[in-house]
Amino acid sequence: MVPSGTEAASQPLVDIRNLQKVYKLISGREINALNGLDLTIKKGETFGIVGPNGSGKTTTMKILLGLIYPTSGEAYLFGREPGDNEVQRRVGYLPEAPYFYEFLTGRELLHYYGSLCGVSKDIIAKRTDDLLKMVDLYDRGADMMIRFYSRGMRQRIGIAQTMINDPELLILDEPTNGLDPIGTVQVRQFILEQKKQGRTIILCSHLLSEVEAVADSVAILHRGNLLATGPVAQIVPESKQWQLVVTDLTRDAIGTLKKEGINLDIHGDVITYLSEDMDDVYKVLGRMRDAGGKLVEITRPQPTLEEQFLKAVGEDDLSRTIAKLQR
Amino acid sequence: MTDNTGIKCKICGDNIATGEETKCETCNESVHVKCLQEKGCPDVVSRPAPIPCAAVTESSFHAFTLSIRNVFLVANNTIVGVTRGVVLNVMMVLAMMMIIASTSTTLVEKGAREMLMDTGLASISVLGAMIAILTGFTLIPNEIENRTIYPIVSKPVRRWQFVLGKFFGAAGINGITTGILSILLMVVYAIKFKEFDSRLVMAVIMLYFMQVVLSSLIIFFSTFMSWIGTIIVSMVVWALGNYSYFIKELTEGDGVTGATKYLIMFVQKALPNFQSMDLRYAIVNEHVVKFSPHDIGLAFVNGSIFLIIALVLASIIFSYREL
Repeated sequence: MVPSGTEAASQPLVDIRNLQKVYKLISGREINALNGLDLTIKKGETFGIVGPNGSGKTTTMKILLGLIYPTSGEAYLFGREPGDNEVQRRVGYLPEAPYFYEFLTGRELLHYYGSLCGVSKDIIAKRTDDLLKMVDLYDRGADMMIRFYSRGMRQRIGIAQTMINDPELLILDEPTNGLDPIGTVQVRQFILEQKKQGRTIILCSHLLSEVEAVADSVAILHRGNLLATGPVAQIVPESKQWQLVVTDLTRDAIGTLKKEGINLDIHGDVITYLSEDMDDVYKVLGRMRDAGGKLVEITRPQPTLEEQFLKAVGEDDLSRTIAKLQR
Repeated sequence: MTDNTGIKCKICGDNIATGEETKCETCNESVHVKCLQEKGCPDVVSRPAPIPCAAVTESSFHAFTLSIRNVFLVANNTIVGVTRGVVLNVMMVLAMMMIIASTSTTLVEKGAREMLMDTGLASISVLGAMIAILTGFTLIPNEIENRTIYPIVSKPVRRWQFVLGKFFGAAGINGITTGILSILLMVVYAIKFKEFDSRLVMAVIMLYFMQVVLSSLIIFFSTFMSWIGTIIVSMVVWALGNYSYFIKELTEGDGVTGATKYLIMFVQKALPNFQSMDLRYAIVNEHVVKFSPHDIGLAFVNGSIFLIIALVLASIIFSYREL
């Protein structure tokens, strides 16, 4: 049954239900790469998947692309199963540390991939030029064998090939891998541009700041478990705390303030005070000024995705250790 | 007022009144009849409806032509890759040198024609098989090891299309090498004896067919074996296949009996009869063995059966393989 326009719009583009992947080693040991993963990704969303090595990020992507098969659970893209030809035609994929045919030139590679996607010759020719220009390989590299490409150039041609079929869904695994700072910024701009054009993007990266800068939603994976998922604003909540930074307070003054129950954080000359109440911050600031302190700044420090990630992973590790000890 | 059963509905969570209760067939728990009809059991994971793509209108004929197109795109890329590599070019130079050198061994006038044909066709047979093995064993494993397969199978390319593409690529490479070596042999023969022997054409066609069958087996082995295993097994199969009649004769003699006899018979039947595809003996010793179309037909059928089985199995194995 083909859904109506509104049904299709409200339906998640990627729907992962209770996905489990168990690898069986020759020794007979089993490794749980994914443990009941549930995820939904909406159309037009930029979704970041973050997690340390071995957390199940690449396994998830490989299942979505039909490269490997789940042990149990289901995954749907565009309402179809992974590996379906119609799905593949609508997906662009950049593997981690991509290798391409060394004997082809950049232009030949894009032609080949475009042809495999069933794109017509005329469109391939035009799109190839546009994409080579987009990734800055048109003048240097288009007709050079990939064998002679630098790591950064390989990553660029990799990004170009994801777009050759004008996909609705982009799956990018570590897209800034091997790129210099300028290249990294260009990739970020590329992702933002694709996002603006309404493409759905799944971004898998170790660089959490990278994900935070472009993603609408994130999923934090650890040891095959989903620790947290939701909009970035929800995962990284806006700070309610104010931070007061003061210098030049004497030891006596610090001692007096502490006796009054004011909790100070001291790093050398720099004294920090945290409070959710702005009035309280001004009151403490007045006391500090009276004691000879100089105001450096009053800020509202924003927690980063990295902090939330480390917190979530740390808590998970801790609970596992406790569970192990209890056993 | 209706009596309450005291049981909660699994779907809505409310108490179920008497007469409103039913058991869900999926989870075997109590639910409201109405809830089950309207909302369904939550344990039944419904598959989402496909989201249509405006750009794709694919008829089955279109899908078929795209499949064929993909097979030949993969085949073409395989040929480009191997012909731009070093292995094939080095082996081709060696093979050409061997054929040219074989002319110097035919200085004796008596039997010179047979000698040139024998050494020339032997060069094509042996070196063609070596080229097929040494270029073929890497075709699929290298794609997996170098991860060049990821961007391919994440595109609308079925695994069987990839396997068939690799096979046709290998067949194309065999065609190029056998073609060049055969033309060289025929030119050398024509220059030396000022004539053209049409039997040579049939002989090289059958040698080419032998290499194609061998390539299908190499592709099959490489879908589940390591590269070293693929090389060893392919060479053993090729060697035993080239002694098929000799192996058969072993079972007909008095020396071999019992289980050994059946084992040898099994090996002979389980491997393609490459010897029947090698027409050298029939050409060179025409007075002993006849150049029979019937035998050529049987050899073709035998090879085709092995070729089809190898490719079907390779496609199935590769479809289930995790990449």
